[in-house]
Amino acid sequence: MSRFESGRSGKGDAFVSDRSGSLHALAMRHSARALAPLAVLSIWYLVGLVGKPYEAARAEIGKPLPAIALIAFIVVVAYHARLGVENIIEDYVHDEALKAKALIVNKWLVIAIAAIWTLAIMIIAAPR
Amino acid sequence: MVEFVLPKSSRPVEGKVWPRPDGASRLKEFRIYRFDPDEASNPRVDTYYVDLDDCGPMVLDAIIWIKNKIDPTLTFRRSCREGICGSCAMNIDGLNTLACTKGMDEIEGAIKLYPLPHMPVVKDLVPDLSDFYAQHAAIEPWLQTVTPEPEKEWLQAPDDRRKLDGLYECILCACCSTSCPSYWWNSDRFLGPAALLQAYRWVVDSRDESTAERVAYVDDAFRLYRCHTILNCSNACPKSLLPGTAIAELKNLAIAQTTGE
Amino acid sequence: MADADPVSESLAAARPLSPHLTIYKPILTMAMSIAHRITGASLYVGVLLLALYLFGLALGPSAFDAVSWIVNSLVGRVFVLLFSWALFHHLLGGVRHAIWDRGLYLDRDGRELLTKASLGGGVALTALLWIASSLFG
Repeated sequence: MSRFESGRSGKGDAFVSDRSGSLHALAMRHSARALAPLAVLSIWYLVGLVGKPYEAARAEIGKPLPAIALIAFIVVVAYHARLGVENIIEDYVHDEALKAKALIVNKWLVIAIAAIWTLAIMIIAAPR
Repeated sequence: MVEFVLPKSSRPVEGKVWPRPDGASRLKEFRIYRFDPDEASNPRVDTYYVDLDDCGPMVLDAIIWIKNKIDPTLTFRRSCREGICGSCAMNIDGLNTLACTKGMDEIEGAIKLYPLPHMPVVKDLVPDLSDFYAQHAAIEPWLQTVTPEPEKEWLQAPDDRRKLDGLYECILCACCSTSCPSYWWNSDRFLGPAALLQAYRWVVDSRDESTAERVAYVDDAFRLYRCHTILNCSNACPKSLLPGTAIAELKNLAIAQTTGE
Repeated sequence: MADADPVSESLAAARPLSPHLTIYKPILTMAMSIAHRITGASLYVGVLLLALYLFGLALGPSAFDAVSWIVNSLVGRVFVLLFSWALFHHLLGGVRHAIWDRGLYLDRDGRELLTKASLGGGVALTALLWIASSLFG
């Protein structure tokens, strides 16, 4: 006796493949490709913040290039990280109710991170 | 939540140490997982000593020797003893492979034998493969055509026949699927490397006319996409097949089909 | 061949699960796969902390005093170092997956090579970054 759910109810019947897998995989590939250069650029600026006092830190990332790079970075990261953690949740959490909640928390957490990060940089980079 | 730790009743305890054979000069120690369904107790790990001068060189030869000479209750599947039937698949020294093609000299120290991982155990080294077979059946492993049947054979050019190499040779031993952590956590919905390799075998068969439906069936977040390219499957295959490669191709076909629509 | 009778059903229900993580050999590709997931999850936590740092930096000197430890204290510097290593490790892991997605280097020697290259490369790029930063940053 098998617990495997084939999704096939009989020959000729439509099985329900959700197709989301291919779209997720593609989104992962595109976001990863965009992140490669953005991440290398961003980590340079982030490491540059270590040891800097208030004014110096603001001066470093207040310039246009670091500001735009860091904002682009976090927006793409938010998308990529959301998909990555969705994968983790789908793999390990099988209780449907708990899974639904976890997916919602994940979605809003990445949005919050991206929003805080972007807002912060825009404030820092805004002309005085 | 997935159980990364075995349930309490599944955890093996230290078992019996069976007597060494008399007059043996070369001995090999075996630590073998045992479970008796007629007793309500935990599985255990028994220790045996095999006389290497009295049996053949393969792990299968050793466990047959144990069953004949030491302990007739030791239970395992076996048939061809030449690596083609797939019956004796088990976890040997931490890796899934066939007992009949694994030389004892390849392993230093005690040889640990466990059933294929994360499977319901019927008895000793015999797992319940019902899910595995159901997954194979689910991909519909037979020729599907719309064109009326020809008078004689369905013709296939040599180049098209070559595309089946590395796919048709699968013996359905289950070494690959049971080596996959994603299959451990999701074997109720993930097809697993063996079934996916066979799905690809039929997709790539030039005589089959159901290609689009076959790709559409596997194109699912669970059936295909629980694969995260861990590649334990390609590492485990005792026939040196590469399920990981077949799955990579299947994913590309699924993506092409989804975006092409 | 379904087990429809109650005896078979109850026997099936009592079957133990065979050991998995505790007995499977942790081969390199398997270890790197879980490292890819762990570095990814760690980066998620890392950007959360960095977001808090940036927010403090944006709000003003007193807010900055509350968050500067994230990057400037000893713990903070170790955090940024580990974050950068996790980033390069995960990035090169992503490159490895992109190569595998094209069906390349999936044979035994190929996957060992790619795995070792991404492991070594991650360490090398991290070192390069920090050396360059101390010289030109």
